Amino acid sequence: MGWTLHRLAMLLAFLLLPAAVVTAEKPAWQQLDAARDWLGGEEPASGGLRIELPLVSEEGMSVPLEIRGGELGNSEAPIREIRVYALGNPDPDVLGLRLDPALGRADFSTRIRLDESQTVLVLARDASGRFLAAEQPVRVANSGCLARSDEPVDAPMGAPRVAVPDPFPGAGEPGEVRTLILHPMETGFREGPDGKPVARRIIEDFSAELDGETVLSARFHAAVSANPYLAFRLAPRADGELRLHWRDETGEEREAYREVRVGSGE
Amino acid sequence: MKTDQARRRLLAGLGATLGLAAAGLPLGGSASRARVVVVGGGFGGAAAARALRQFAPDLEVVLVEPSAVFRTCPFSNLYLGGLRSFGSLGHHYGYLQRRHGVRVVRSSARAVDPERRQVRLVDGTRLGYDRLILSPGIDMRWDALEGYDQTAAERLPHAWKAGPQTRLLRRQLQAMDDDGLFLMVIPDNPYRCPPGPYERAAMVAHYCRRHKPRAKVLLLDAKDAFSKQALFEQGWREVYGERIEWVGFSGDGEVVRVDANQRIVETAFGNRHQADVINVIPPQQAGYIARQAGVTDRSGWAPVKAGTFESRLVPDVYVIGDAAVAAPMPKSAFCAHSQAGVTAAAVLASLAGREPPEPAWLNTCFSLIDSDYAISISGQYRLRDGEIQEVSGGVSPLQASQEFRRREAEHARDWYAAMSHAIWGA
Repeated sequence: MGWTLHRLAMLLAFLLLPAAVVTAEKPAWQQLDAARDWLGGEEPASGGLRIELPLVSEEGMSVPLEIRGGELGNSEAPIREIRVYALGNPDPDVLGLRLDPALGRADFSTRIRLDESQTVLVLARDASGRFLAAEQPVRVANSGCLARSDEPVDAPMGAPRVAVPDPFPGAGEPGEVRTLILHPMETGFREGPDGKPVARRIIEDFSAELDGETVLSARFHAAVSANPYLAFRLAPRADGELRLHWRDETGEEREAYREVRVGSGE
Repeated sequence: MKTDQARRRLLAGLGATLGLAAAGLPLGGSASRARVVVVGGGFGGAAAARALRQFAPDLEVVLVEPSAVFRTCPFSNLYLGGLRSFGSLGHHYGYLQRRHGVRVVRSSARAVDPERRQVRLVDGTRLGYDRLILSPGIDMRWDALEGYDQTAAERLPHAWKAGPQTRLLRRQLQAMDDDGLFLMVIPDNPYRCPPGPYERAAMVAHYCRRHKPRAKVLLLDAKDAFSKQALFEQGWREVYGERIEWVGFSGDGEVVRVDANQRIVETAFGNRHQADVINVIPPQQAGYIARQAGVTDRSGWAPVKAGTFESRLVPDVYVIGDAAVAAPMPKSAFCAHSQAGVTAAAVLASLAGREPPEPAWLNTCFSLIDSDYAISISGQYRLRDGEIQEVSGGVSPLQASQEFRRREAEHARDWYAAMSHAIWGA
């Protein structure tokens, strides 16, 4: 009797589940063509990669995203590539990253645009070709903020800002490098005052080189917030020079150099 | 003309909240003997206690609040600017006790035992409840900003809870050199009173215009956009010229470290700013008792069921005001008051075994730029698809006459008087 009631309750609960909940049970990577294409039939593992996003964002124009992919140096199969998708954006591509083990850790912070409440998916591929996935739903309270309408459209790319630890904590020990460049990251999705779509103009490529070796290259899409912010880890083994480089769709470029000094590790 | 309409809407709105709550009545027999405990005597808790007693005169309502006098954050910026006395921010609980029969217990809640439905107070007393409403406001996150702890706050006040901190900041402002720098550190969302820092900047500038003519106000902000931004920036410029400078996240406004002894703050990209007075508004979280009761999630805030504000994590516990995740409703006094009415109705319906009435919430936030210049934002909220959504709302127009701004300043004062009278009777 109790068992039957229990079954009945289960059945009812199942029938009454809102459609959205049923959809959400399907992993995000299964819902997106771009993600499935990259996976090429592989099923990603769910451990080893974490993301942090606010559960509720009051401002969809700039949502802080943190990716925690763990150690690169001592790992047998360090993460080599990361891709970020926002499933509910007009263009689900957000960010792509190619990592060199010289970064020390696969940890990143950035700010992204979310057009509405949706799931953010992060996929990573490690050196052995294995995939990892992490996803999180975000509720966006103030939508429609894909861009600000009072932003001048043809604003040139501004001066970059870069902060590096001085010194880095020790040889091979990761320290956080923060980068930001003034740029409207015009999405191409919004209308100007005249009602016509504003032409798209975004920074596409960013790279970091340590003494001439590329340690990080990034592909930005329109969902990276205006004035792109990217913080990453770097674990230099010796003193050297860091070169940072940005290029936008019009071909305009900026670069910045920073001296890298390695501390004694104490 | 238009503002008079806005004012009528506003005053009608105060009444509408109560009218809505009344829809949950009358109570059945067993519910009328029930006890509801409300923790926190601010705009949310005190209003909830009042509303419960108004609509269910037989219900036992216990309000737990440690202070004999409640100091409001709204208008505390006006005290900083010299437009209001500190005493005028204080409200007592006598009226709630005498007029509405709320039992006010002057103590702090130490713990909640949801299994036994008890609240334990700091003196060990246990208060049983049938339903519990938590309206604890905010606590600072003392671990969130390097160098900023309770000791540092004695040198670099936050003044984000009205009281001794507010007076400390006022004294520091008064003692500042005539050409001093007043620096404010502003956090990322969510935090109490989204437009509050920007009103404070105007009120500090107002004070400086007369008393510190060469002083500057520098705002270092972890965000790139803020509430009523265009109106604030226009108002600052019109009234105070170049005195106020705002630096957002992209301009390297995010402060990552403070040195209280040296009065220096350091930004994410390594700029160091020294100032004569530093007002640090740190990242925040739901008040202690909400965290202790287990109604908060890893964000530090309390997720609630949108229609009733019952906790999503602990049954029969409701969370209202700044502690709750109510976005797109902002963490404002008016929202807390509006939530109090809706949640009181939901609690009464729940006690009577009925469905809660259809909710509707309101918000209006006035910000003063000058003694006769105010701007406002307002919103109406409804339940849509199980979530709170803004159904209408807006901000003051960018193009408006001095007369329009003057009337909004009048409405702000009317709002404060009406609201504090409705809740505390004075």
